Amino acid sequence: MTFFAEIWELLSSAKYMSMLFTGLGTTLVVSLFSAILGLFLGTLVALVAICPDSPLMKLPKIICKVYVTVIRGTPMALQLFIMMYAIFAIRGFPQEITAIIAFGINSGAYVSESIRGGILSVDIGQTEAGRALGLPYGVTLMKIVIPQAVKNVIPAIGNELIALIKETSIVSMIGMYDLTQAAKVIGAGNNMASYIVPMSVAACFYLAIVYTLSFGIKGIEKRLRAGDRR
Amino acid sequence: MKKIVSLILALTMVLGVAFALSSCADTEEIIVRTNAYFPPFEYYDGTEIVGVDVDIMELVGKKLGKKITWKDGDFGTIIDNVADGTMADCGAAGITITEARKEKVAFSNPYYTSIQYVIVPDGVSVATKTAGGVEYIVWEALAGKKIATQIDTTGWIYTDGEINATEEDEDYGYNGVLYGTGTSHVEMPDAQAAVDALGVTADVIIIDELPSKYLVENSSKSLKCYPLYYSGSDGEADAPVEEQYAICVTKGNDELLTAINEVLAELGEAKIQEMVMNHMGLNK
Repeated sequence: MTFFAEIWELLSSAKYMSMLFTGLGTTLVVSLFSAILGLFLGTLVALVAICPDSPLMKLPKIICKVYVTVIRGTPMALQLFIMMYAIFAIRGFPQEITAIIAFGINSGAYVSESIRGGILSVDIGQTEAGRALGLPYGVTLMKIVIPQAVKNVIPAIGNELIALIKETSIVSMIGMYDLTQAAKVIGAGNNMASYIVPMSVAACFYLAIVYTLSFGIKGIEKRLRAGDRR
Repeated sequence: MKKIVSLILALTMVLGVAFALSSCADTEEIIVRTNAYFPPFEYYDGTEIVGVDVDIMELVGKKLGKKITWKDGDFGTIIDNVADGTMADCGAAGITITEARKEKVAFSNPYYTSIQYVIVPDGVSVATKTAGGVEYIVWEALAGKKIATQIDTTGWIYTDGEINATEEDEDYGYNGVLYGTGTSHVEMPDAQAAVDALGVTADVIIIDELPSKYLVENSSKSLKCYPLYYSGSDGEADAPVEEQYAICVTKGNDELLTAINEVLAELGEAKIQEMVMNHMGLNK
């Protein structure tokens, strides 16, 4: 019963709640902006990846391949460390921006693969039909293939966004005051002196964010599929 | 027309260079690295970092007329950050002076002498000894236990050494006290996580004196703590595992180092002890 009593103690304390909400703010800002950066990068990389081979596209294609391989092949925590202590080791550089760039780049690699999969899932007949009607490659892609692909990638992108939000919890490693850091501070010796209760409450916060987000994604999906027969 | 364009370009360049130079010369703030989970030396009060080290560095800032900016992060990254000097000027985190660290950074005069403590929860039996009115634990008594420490702290370094050191290993050249006794090392990211691990994955914790007292005082678990001693060889008395805290500064930054030493000298042992007691909440 003490567990619930302590949860109540935390929830009814203005000081602890304001700490949690400060942390929540950082978590939301970092996830939102890195999601935007990730979507942008991912789309760009996916478009390069599905382009037909040509001498001009050779170098960009190699760069994109290396990017996806390296970013997907190394742990996020290490990428954040390298960003923080090697690449952006600039005096007084805002940590929020370092984190947003690190998470955006990471997310971009996963998003690009989802988008590429979505575009490839559209029947080749659609492209052939567009080309046969005399539309240039770019117009076929933008007006025929991508609108159909978007519908297919929404669930996968939603998945990635959810993973991203939860992954931002590691920014406490580089000393940023996010939701997890707030929970750790509340759990520190001068406050509640145990991690268990504040961590559980922080977990509920994450759950609430993710639930709201997945609700939104479901809504978008429903709108896009309004004309489908299934 | 050409003249005006070239004039504007020249002006932009001059301004650009001036701006670049001025931002380079921006040394109006001192950036201090820390790990804010080491009460009473540094800990979060709400979203602010406070503690003994914070009080000391604020005095240093006042002396030099500069702003002090605190940067929190993993304890293990502090020495590298300060050695590099671009992201931080100094590190204040109850850092123990060790030979390996001395090679990378400059240390101020020590301002606090700490000894290692063992936190023992109820239900775990560890043999204690008493000498001169002090009840203590010797390393040998910890054989076979699961010892939790905070990664990269001196407790971690000592425990790692005592468990893993062997005569064959050139880095050590001696057998650790706990070598081959089936003792295991539970490495935790911070002290509070180690307390939560007690009774789950760990039997005891080894950590510095003040944090250990602080943790024992505030925990809802029933814990006790004892100083940790090395057994004296034949006839000699057992001696505590002692160490000294200092503030580390990037090598070559003598202005800051001198200022820190001056502040420490002005404060003196008694005043620092008083700060410690204040932050321990024992003066209330």
